Amino acid sequence: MNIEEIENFICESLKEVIDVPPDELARDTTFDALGLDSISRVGLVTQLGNAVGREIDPEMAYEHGSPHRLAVHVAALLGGESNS
Amino acid sequence: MTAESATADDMAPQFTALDGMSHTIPYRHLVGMRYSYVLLSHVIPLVGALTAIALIPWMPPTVLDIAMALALWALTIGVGISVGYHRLFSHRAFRTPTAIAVVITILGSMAAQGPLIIWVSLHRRHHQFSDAPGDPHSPWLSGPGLSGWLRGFWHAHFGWLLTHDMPDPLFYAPDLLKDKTLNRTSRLFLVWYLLGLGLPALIGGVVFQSWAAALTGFLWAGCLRVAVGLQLTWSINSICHLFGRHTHDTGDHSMNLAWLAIPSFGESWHNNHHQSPAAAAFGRRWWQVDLGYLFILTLKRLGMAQEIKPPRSSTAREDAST
Repeated sequence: MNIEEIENFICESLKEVIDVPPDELARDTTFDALGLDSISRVGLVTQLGNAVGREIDPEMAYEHGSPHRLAVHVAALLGGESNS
Repeated sequence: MTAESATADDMAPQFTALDGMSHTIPYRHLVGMRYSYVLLSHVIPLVGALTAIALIPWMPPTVLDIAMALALWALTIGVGISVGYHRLFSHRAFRTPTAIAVVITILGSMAAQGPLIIWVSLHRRHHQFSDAPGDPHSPWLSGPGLSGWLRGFWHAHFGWLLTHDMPDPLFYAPDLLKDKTLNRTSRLFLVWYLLGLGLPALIGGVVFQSWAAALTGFLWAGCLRVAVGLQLTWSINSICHLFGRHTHDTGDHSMNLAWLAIPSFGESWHNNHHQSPAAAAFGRRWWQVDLGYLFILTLKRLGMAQEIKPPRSSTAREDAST
């Protein structure tokens, strides 16, 4: 998955809690602004981890707190793996 | 089924086993959070409750302490948990103005059973799998024989709090996550919970102008009230899936248990509830006392509860055959 595909996956995962269609959600909207509580963030990261086939540290949903930033981080993780 | 009851069922956020086993967060990701929760919301009230009892010879509770404990019991276990967390939010059994919903959420938080959104996620998953693998707190999944029964009881009553996988709120409670006001109220759980411990201390201290009265207010109407309330609700998860009358064939082990009906505000008509989860009323017969439903009817009289959902229409048929 590249950055854009990961962003799309994240926004799709959030579709029930946002007011706009997932493809219209600004990729830099923060998870804070979306009202995600800590367990929802862990849930999001768990779903994303299942999708990319690699466990992701739940803390990442705080350190990288928007669809775009989280996608950049996860893409880097995946890239680092395929290079090694 | 009539068109009317079909509409009512459609409005309830329910999940079936077909939705699959995923949508949970492995428990190891939330270990710190849940141990903090158990320490704050279970261990502290329990220690306080034991202290309250040990201190009786020197500092017996005042009449005010007992009155505050009973009032807070009704407000937190009855209005907060049974009417609010359970019927209003988990099952959307009726509608109420936002201001009332917020007050009810605050009262529910004072019962120390966790933030609204987490409670609702767990409860919707409980109904999705009810006593089958995936149910967070079934007493029937811990193996055969007496040891399996005992371990099952412990798991359903308390053990599950530390070991179950957490249902993902993004899947189970998006309606509440999306509601900015309720979301914010839910996340302030700790504030409301501590308020529920501190208020009786403040009232006792001010009324009697003494630190001793503040202490007994805290210990009796705060800690002991919380500790017993937790036992009551966890008993619905354990005892009400093991003992009682199974009137409706619900495909699980949910039971109706009369002796818990009054303190649980109707929650212990648990087999009735599993037969028709979206219904606001848990009692089906005139003698099945359901104080929570009486409260909802009172709200309705005051114009603060609408769209109160009736039991599924099949109830009448099943009742006629028993």
